[in-house]
Amino acid sequence: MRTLNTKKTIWDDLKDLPRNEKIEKETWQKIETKLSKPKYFINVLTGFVTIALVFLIFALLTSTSKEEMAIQQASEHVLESVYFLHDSEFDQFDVQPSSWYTFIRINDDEQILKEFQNQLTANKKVVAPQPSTIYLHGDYVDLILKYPNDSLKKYKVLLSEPGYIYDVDTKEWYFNDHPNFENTVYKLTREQFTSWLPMFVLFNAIFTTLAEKFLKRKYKVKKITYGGENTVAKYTIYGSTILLGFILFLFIFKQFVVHIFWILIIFAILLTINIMIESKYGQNKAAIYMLISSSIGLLLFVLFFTLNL
Amino acid sequence: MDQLYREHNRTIFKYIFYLVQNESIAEDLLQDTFLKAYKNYNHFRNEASELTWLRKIARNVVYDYLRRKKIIQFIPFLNKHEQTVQDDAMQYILENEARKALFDALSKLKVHHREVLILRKIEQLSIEETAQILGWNTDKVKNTQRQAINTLRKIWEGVENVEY
Repeated sequence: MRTLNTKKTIWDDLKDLPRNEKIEKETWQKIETKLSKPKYFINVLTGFVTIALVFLIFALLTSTSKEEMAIQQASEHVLESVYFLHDSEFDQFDVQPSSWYTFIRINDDEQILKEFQNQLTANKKVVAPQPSTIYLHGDYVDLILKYPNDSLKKYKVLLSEPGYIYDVDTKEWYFNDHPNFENTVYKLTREQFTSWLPMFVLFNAIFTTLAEKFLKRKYKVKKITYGGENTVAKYTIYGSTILLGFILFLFIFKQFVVHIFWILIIFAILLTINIMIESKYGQNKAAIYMLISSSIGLLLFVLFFTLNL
Repeated sequence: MDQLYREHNRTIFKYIFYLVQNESIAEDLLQDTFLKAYKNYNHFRNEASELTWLRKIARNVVYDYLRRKKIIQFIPFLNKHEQTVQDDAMQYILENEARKALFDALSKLKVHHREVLILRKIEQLSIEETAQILGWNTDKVKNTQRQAINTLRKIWEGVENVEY
């Protein structure tokens, strides 16, 4: 009890804990800054969630239920449009009846569609092209023919051996000996990139440069750095940006067919992580605005490049 | 500085510091406490004093931190971030043997024992005020204080080394 009797004074001693005045002021300044900060993070998040929801609705509306429509009725109607995907293989059929999927192109030129539909009547049922390497290793363009009552018909056209068509639904081979068939398929499935793409790339480059200059001047920084002085935060931001680039590079070069909804989700998640880290560890808002503007620029480029805009 | 912060930041800092026993973390949690307080000031009803209300917020913030710490202590961000403040408070503790011994003994107590002693012994609050902050009844405060003192005495005398 000897020592505990003296504890009264030690308790008092602990009560007199000093406070560093400089830190006290700094903490107040941080509180003040955070209180005056607009809720841009929540706004960005809300924006992305809204976009994601809108696209989810699109995804549901354009879901594969339409594919289940009666196939046998298809030929009775006038062809409405054709969705197509190049560089396909025999055991692969990724084309979707919606241009909200990446790399899926649509042709709705009435003249070409009419021509193509007329030529389809010349299809004659045949056995699979022999030897089997012709079709197993052949180069295909995949087609989904869409008719007015939303009924669909799926074909694979063998480009490396003109005239052969594979009906994906019935798993039967046809041969079309119409003299213009090859030419019609070429016209039908010609890929036309939007003429806006080069303009957009130029505009995006100018916009990003100007935005960087403006932000540097506004926030009085020589160089926009990410993650402040925290090395881990900095490399997490760089890492997630590289990851995003890698994902985009991979799916562009591997021609992954994905709904645009998933691209937006990936962008939203990675951008949100970056903004969260930057807002916690960054030194000014310049880096946050730069992250947002460059990510939106990249996203728009991906949309222009992969979608049939 | 705003009046609320100016008047109470030292008391709240002390409370948080003795709970988490790290000056840098205490500074961060103090910041969170006042941010929450300012954002929710319109919910403050004068049923208790401002200081009691702030202590309750600080307690929640500390408990959130302790929960989070259990989950994410392997993430290197936090550890690095925690070492950036000049340790004036810690220096004050270390410069006196008895102070250091009591501080170390407190660190070995369970959190709810520690906080009762902080409020009752260091802050010298009444049992009723302590009960109000902790959301307990007065009997629980008395019992917990008794248990905490007993454990502290054993640690102090080197009889028992209670794992924190």
